[in-house]
Amino acid sequence: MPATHLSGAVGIAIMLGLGVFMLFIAASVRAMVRNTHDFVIAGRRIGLGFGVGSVIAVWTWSMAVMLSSAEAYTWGTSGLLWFIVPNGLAVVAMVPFALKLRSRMPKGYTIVEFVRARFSSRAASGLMLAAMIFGGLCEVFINLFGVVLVMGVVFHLNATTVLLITLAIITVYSYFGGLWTSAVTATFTTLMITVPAAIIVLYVLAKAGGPGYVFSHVKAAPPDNRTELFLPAAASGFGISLALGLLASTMADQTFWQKAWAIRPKNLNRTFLWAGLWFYPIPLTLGLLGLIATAHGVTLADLGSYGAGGVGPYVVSHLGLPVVLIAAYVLVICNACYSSIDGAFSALSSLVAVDIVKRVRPNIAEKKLIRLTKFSILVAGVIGALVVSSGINYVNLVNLVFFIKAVLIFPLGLAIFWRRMTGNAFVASIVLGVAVGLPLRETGHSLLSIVALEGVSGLVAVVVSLLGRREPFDYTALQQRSAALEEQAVSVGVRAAVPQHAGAAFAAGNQAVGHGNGASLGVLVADPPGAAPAPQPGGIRPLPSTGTQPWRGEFQ
Amino acid sequence: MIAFYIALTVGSVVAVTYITLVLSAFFRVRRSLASAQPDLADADTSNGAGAQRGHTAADGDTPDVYQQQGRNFAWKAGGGVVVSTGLLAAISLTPSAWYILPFLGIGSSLAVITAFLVDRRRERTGEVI
Repeated sequence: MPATHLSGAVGIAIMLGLGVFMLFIAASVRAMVRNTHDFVIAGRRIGLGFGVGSVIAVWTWSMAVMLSSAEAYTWGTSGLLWFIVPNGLAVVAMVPFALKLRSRMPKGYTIVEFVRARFSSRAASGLMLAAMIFGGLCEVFINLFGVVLVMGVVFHLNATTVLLITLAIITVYSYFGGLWTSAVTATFTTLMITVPAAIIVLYVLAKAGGPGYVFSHVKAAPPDNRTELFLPAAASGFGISLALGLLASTMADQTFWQKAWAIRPKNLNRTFLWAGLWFYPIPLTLGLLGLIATAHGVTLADLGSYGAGGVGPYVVSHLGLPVVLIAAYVLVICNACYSSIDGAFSALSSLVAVDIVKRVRPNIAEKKLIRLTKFSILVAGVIGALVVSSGINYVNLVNLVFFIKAVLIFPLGLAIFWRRMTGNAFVASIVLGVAVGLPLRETGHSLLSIVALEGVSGLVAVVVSLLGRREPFDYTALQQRSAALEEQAVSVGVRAAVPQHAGAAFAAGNQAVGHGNGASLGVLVADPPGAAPAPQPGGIRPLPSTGTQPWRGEFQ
Repeated sequence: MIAFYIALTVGSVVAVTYITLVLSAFFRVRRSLASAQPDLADADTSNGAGAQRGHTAADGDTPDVYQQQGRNFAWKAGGGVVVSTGLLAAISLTPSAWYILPFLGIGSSLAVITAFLVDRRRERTGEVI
């Protein structure tokens, strides 16, 4: 197939144009972020619309839009089955975990924070923190690679140029608004992925000779089983391991937990259910490009160093499509990648704020905390650029990351649902699961390795917990935990509003005063725990203490 | 090519509606935050004093809220698996089914539109969200 010649300037213009649009949104969102609590958890105010829109986009990684075409090209419809069905199910599967954990720990921020509270074990929380940071960075790598791939195939742009532009754009707009920016931009992204993808694929189908022509050629293409839905080779080749990895990858991904704690309580079930079910059409639609490539006899040699991962961009840029449609396709991929990367940045920043900075320096000033939280986004961006520019293989990277993530299914699931699960069992199941499964995978035993990984981690988690003979965990203890960042945000508000009212102990615990715009905005305020409510100057009316929460008042 | 033009038309209408609803919701949230007015969720407390106390959305968290949501989950999740597998079976059997998939893609945007409409309806009726 002859390639449509497109200038690299068009590719750069697409990246920059999308970046300017995202930056504009981020600038508008900026006013909504007053403190670190808003930055990492959006004030727990995300509604159903932004919830569904952003979860669809954040889960639409570059792999959903490009690997679906690659699997269809490699395995036929069986490849699509094994790639797509667990993909949507993974989001839906978050529902029971999110409902259970949020009801048990309503003021949480990160899954690492839960592990720390659940086990009181440095080893368990340290391991979980490492796993979450690794997972978040891999999410960045995979999606950065997606942009590099599409720009390389369609515009022949240099990887370093693409990396620098992409990272600069996403880092800048993520820096401004945290989770709010991520939610709003991702909601726009869902529109910019779904509608253009549908229009482009229908045009490509017509241009490729229509579904009838493509279907008959796919059926005739060697090997003659491309329309066989339940192909055992696809299941053992990648299907089962990817399916388990995908299922683990939502419940073991801070990006999703951050949303689970940020969404309004009543919308939790519907958000993940709708997002999972309406995610399905995206890879289903774009997967058709892989079948079109098969029908037109595209070979791996045609795809060059990008391999099967580049088949979608190759088809779109080699069928003589109008430039506007090729540009729209590139925009779809860039949107998918940008939203996933900014979601990962937001998740990483929440880990840094809650599980690193606040742990090391509990009394850090709000201004400094938010600065360090934002700085972590820059660091993640630089690490991402270094790894992707090292020339790793895209499909291998995806499969490896999802394989390792699969080890978290049993330990994390049991930690949430089973009172007898212990910290030692949590650590042992992860370490031994990887220690047994990974060497098997590296020696080519793909199916056996995932079975061993899950089997060992599940068995070890149960056996070690039972042998430990510790008192069953009381989940109500999690309810008593206060929200560290929320209290900090509240305390900043109080100090700015009525510094003369602050008690000595309170002042000693919070030496630095934040920007304090809370007062002018009339945000929630709190006194130091134990301080007696009294009539306040400045229009603050005291209310009695409620349970474990700090005393709250309200501007009149 | 007829399917393409239909998708183009439907997609354009969906896009305009989608953007309108997103912008409207966005400005509503931003206004609410800027004026720090307790929104509907803030008012969600068991004793009805949430707005007075200025509770955050998280304070509406009660175990009941979550228990009620878990019902029929397995059926819905199973339904998604059956439908997506059924669609893949259909495209493996007949080329006519191939047209369904892109239109379902536009359906994803319609789902988000519906979600925003649900949000708006709840706010108008004063229902707790």
